[in-house]
Amino acid sequence: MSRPKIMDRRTALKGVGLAIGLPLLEAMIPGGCFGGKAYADEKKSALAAAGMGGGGSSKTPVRLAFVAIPNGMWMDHFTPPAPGPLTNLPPSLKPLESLRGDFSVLSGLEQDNAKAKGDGPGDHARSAAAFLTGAHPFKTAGSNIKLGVSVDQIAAKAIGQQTHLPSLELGCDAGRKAGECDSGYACAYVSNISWADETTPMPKLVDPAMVFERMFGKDNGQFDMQRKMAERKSILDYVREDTRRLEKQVGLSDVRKLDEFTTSLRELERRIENNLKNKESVAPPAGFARPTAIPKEYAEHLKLMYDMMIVAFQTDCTRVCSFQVASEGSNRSFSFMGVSGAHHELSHHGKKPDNVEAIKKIDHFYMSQFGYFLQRMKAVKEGSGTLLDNCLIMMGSGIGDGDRHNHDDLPIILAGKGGGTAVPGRHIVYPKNTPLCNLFISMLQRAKVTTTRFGDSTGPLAQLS
Amino acid sequence: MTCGRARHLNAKRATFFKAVGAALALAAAGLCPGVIAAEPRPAPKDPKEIVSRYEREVKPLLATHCFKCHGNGKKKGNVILDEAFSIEHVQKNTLMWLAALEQVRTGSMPPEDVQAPKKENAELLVKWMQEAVATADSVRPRDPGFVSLHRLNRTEYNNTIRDLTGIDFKPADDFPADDSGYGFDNIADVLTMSPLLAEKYIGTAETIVERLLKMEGGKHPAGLPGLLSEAKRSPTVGQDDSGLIYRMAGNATFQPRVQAGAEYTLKIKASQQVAGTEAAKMVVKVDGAEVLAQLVDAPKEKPKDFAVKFKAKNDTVKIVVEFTNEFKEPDPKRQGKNRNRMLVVHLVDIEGPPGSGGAGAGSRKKVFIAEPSKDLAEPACAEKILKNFVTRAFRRPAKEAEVQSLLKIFTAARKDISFEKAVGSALTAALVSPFFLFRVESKMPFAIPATPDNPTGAWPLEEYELATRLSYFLWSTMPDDELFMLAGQRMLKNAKIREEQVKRMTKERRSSQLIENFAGQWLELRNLDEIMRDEKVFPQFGTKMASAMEREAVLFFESIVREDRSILTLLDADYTYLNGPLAQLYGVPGVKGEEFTRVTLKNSPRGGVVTMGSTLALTSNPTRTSPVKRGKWVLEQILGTPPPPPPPEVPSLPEKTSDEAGVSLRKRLEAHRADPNCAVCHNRMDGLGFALENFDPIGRWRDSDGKFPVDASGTLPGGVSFNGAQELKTVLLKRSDAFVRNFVEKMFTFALGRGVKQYDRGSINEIVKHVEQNEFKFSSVVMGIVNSDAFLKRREKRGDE
Repeated sequence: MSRPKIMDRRTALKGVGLAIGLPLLEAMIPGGCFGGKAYADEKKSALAAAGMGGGGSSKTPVRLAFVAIPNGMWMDHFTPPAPGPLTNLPPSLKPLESLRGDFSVLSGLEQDNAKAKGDGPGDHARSAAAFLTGAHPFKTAGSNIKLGVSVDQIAAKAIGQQTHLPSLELGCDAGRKAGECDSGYACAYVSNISWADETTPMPKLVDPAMVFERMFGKDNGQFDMQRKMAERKSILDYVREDTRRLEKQVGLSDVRKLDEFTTSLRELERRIENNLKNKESVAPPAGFARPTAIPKEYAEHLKLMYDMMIVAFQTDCTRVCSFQVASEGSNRSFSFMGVSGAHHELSHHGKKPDNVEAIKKIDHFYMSQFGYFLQRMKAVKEGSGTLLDNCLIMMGSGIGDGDRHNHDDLPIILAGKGGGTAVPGRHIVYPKNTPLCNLFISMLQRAKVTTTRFGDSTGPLAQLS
Repeated sequence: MTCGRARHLNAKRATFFKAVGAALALAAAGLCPGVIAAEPRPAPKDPKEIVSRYEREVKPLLATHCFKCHGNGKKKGNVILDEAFSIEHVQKNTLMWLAALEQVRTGSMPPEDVQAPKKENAELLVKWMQEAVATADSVRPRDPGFVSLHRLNRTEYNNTIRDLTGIDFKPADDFPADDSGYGFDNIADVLTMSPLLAEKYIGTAETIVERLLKMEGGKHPAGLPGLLSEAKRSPTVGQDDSGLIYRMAGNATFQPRVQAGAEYTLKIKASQQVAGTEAAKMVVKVDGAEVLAQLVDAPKEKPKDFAVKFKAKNDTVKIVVEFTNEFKEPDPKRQGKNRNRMLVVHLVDIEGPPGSGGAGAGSRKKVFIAEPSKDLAEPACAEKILKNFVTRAFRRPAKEAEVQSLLKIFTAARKDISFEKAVGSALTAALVSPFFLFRVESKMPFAIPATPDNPTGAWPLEEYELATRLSYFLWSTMPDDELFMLAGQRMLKNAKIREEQVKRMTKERRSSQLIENFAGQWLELRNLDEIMRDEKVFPQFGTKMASAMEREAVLFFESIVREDRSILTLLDADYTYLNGPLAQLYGVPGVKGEEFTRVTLKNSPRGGVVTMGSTLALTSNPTRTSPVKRGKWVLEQILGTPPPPPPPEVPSLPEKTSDEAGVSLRKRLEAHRADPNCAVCHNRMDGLGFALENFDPIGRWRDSDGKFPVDASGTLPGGVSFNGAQELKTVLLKRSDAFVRNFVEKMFTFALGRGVKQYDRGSINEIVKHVEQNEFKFSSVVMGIVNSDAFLKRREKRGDE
């Protein structure tokens, strides 16, 4: 049995070194991610347009991120008292005080397909599954997993082709190692929020070192990339040949299963061709080194993963990220901050004061980490604005109140200005049961993905700009 | 002496009663007063009789006692009992009928607010349902079922790479986690593919081949052999094609991965350039201790070999090779220049036990089975190597077209790079081939017609496919040479030879994978490193204790496998495995130190998986026990009758210790299940869980929970009462029929990589019968599965699956 590589925080952070020191972040921009020059011209012009070389900010790419928090929130401390400008932040949002002008709270949104609809219990699995897909998961503990494509993957397919990685999927929980996951739902539903298609979850990376390698290559660019890529290309040609041979040999349903493989190969090939076109050597941004392992402390792990997202956006390695901070239904202990009990159990607070107090502390913790992320984004200059200005970041949970397991009036935050397409700083209250998928339509459109329908959407979400 | 133990001592007598199951044997042997015999297996009837009895006797009873919730359009818990009845209906809805049967049998249904049937009517219902299911099973068409294309999971990938190349470095640990289904992570349907994984596959294949090429035993035009290229050199040490060059005093450090506790041989090849009268002095340190100090009196053309044995302390070892006596003198050949005394190190490598991480020459030879020579031209040599590799990697003889495609890669690459590297390029490709990454089972070239004997149009697996199923079931890795050979001779179809192989494989070291992967998931041991206990309340429980508990469970399960014991030993045993800290936690005297030892239990509540620390800790909350979770665990993992999930919007019990709450946990749970709707399931779960209340959240014995004395009595619906863990074990042994079936179903799931379906009842019934007829021996479970249609045959996927 393998245990994850864990080491103390100081050692783990050594790798990141000065990189997360704020002044250096800006210096990173000239660096590129692994094979990152294929779109270099476009990037340069985009970044130049953003102010480095003059011009307006209209051409800077809009980046999308989706952050999922498990088990809902104590809504009384999350929802601002009244619609309008964010003047008085409720207690759980206090960590975002200095960012009041950079995010909005969107109330009244619903993810209808997370509801039971006759399938009985399993709200945690369903809410994680439906959160970004807007689809109703087929209830199964193993065979026949079936859901739908997630919003980040729609974006990845449309705008991800211009970057080294179409998208990046991150998490802090590797997923349960034994047992069935939630009331008859397969673990795939609980621990994946990104889905490439109905049957294919996009596995997430939990080790920051692996994220680094995915972006910048294993060898920090210290190898003959051209030759290696040429070799990889001939290997892939062979593998495709073998796959065709195999398709003839197996039954129809297995041929469909092989489609996943062929699709994955195509994506690899696209990247290799990008790499071959571009002759520039690959290197991570100056001062940004490979982290050595997963930090022992949860807060540090979260921060490091948020850092990875920032660097990914900054180097234009990808424009789409999803981050599941913990598997849905997570029963993580927060004893490190003096909370007795575990997240999921506490979330069934039964309105008991002790439990509610504990949940408030956990909510506050997650919001502080998210605040860290936004602060860092805001500190990165991009053209005449900041990186945060050019992003749209949705953060929230597929469950409203962890005790009631409701999927309407979800806790949702939208941060960033989307390259000037969104006006944050407000509490917007939508009519009851407004589909969360409407927000996804609006985010996709602002990132130049032409979509008019997604999940149970009824149209774009009003009042964002 | 407990009932369970008595049974093992009375194996002969038990055999006598084998057909009726262990519990009856116990009762008959008169060892356990009060034990009720398991009912005899119901016999199938004429289907017509079942149907006519339904209309005449059963339906009126169901209408009175059940239709309120399970008829007239209502389908609570997805149980509908008033649909048009036929034997086919029972075949299609066996699990529903079984669930109903269990509810009535245990008296859980109907709930308190509905009139209960009279005793004789309840018995009539139970008997009829049992016979209806038995009848439905007896006329059920034989169906081997369908398994989809199976991607190797992370464990299987690691093991397969180890056996294929001899390099054991667990590369798949960096892959994204495999999803699990039906409680196991080797379920074909959920082992999906993603671009991230495909990327890992190609990168890992490159790494594997790089490692292969670095090994000793061949020409290395492209790189340095052994560990040399991984050397950390002090600035005074140089490097060229011949190796490390020490012109001045300096050192080079190597830190290869090894297996802690294993023995290794460190091999060094060195030479010198003479200056002065003394030879170059080489000092070698392993983990700081000097193991070698030698004058290297050998010229560069004839380097000298050195070998030192060492035992690895940790999972990396630090090797330092130092040059200590630097010296320079005027060079007589070159006016005005100096010449240096030099140490040249041509090779540093370690060789260890197989599968230990030491990458010695042996593993390289597994792949590079030939070298080009004047009798063997390069292309022919490459072909030979590739054909051998593909055969092993694809787990069946290589096909000409595959080898030719790979040769093209070799030929193209050979223009720019060395022979070995070019072969390596082709090897890399083979390691990304779907024939390697998936366990392929071919369809038949033509449709098999359905016949009365073969209603699903199934066909027997091809021999190599069978060898592959066997080895991934028992070893979680590729077939070994013997299996390959037998498959080649079409011998595995022969039941006798197959059984000999299963015996051989279960004895072999690699079967530890079955224990780790099957038991590790069945007993949920893999979750042990994730459970959290409040450190302030339980300072004794940490990572170390969690792994000790895991170890105990693994060793115990291993003893069942290796000694081929009855699987009922899992429920109760008079021995276990402990080390010092765990024995102290359990209060078992006389065990000291970190090493595990087998301990005979006397007057101890331990023994068997139910009262193991691992189970007790896994089924507790951070600060208190959870009788609900423990009961649910017993129902799910032991009896195979999981309770339905709780309805939504029911709060769970607040996380509080009894003292904090001021009321005993039992009282709080009683209040919690006051609602008759909750009581239906909780009576079963809580009852079983209460019997384990003498064990605290980290598995220690306790007589009181805070200020409340422990009350470990429990009652199950239907009136079975027990007090404490020992009596619970007796009750479980009484239900050994359920346990055996459940154990068989779990292992069947693991063996085939798919969930148990209704159509599998035929196969499962046969396996269970085989196990009962063979004294419940572990081997009979494995053998029963391996000889079942489900394991030996295959069919096309049906539209309704």
